Amino acid sequence: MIFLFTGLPFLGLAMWPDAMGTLATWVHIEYRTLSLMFVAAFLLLMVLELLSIVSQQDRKITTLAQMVGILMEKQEFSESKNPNDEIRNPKE
Amino acid sequence: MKLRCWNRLKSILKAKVIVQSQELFTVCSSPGVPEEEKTPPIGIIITRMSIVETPKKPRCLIIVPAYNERTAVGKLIRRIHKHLPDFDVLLIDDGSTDDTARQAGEHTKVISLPFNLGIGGAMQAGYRYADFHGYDIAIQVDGDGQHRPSEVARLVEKLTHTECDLVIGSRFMSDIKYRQSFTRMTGIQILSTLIKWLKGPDTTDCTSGFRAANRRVIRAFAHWYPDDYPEPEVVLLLHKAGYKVGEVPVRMRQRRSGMTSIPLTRGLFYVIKVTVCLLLDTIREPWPQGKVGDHASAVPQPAADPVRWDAPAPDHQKTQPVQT
Repeated sequence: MIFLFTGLPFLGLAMWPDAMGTLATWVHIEYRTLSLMFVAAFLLLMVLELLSIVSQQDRKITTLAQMVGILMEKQEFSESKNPNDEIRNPKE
Repeated sequence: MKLRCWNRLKSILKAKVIVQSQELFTVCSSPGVPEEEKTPPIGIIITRMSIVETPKKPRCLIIVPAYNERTAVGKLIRRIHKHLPDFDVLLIDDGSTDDTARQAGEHTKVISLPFNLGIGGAMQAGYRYADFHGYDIAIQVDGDGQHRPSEVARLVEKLTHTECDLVIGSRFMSDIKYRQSFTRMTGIQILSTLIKWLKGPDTTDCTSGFRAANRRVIRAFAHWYPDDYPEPEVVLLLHKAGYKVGEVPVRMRQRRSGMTSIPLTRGLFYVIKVTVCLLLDTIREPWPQGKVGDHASAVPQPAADPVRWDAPAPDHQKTQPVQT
């Protein structure tokens, strides 16, 4: 999905090739190629940033899944040790 | 008198004591000495001594990662209990879609992961469990039944009697030949050579999942463990981080049921991916010495356990100087 969204601007440029020239004129860049290079570098950095975020989230989800597994095992162990124990509301 | 005091001291400490230098009280129980100047029952001033702790049995945990291995895992766990009755067994059900977890039996602990994490995630869950419960040794035994429980003793022996922090059971050091396809064998050779080339240890079977880790490595793995195909990566990374990796020859069974995690068609992709990971590992430092403290483990540590994940291995043979 990340790569798909990153490819969309290039698809737009393919459909409207003069867009880069117009953009370069707006921001007062003399050479169109240079502006294209800036856009490409920005998109590449964006992809790297998003990939790094995805990787971090993946690790966090893995840790959470492991903790869920360990805590469930602990809970089952406690329940098997004290099967008659019930969680009681202290107000009652 | 000296002998009696000495025996008493030993009985108090319940350990073998080596006194490096000592001074005897001359006023021990002399009749002319006033009551307040009399020495305590143990009439020795020990200026420096060493206590050699009596070796205690290490607590061992066998971690069995399994994904859709219902046909093999039950038999394997029964064999483990039969061969290693003193060892605890932990089955990691890595989000199986069949009833793998139910094959565990009565005396086996089971961690059921909510979804499939892969071998790296499953094993890290096991190491986290071992870290939290204070196990001294964690042994990985794959749930497909290829690893023989009778060979576990070799790994543990090597781990406890040498300075190794991680011991790998190697299929290719054994006298009995292990049947392996040409492509797999080539892949293993390539990875072993690459690890050696990247200044890693010289291993014959870097992809073997049959391995035993001591407490230091358990702590390190609980802190960080690779996700995909972790076996070759950790060999290089541990060596880089200063841990010692060793190998012992073991016999393994050929796989009879279930599905391998690396089918032959993906073998090439596996080698390429692991090669890239190994090259990246040359600049990676997942276990920076001294930079991560007790919070290294994601699981809160018991307050009474002062052992750091990066602390030196608790070597029972080592003498600890005690100042009195």
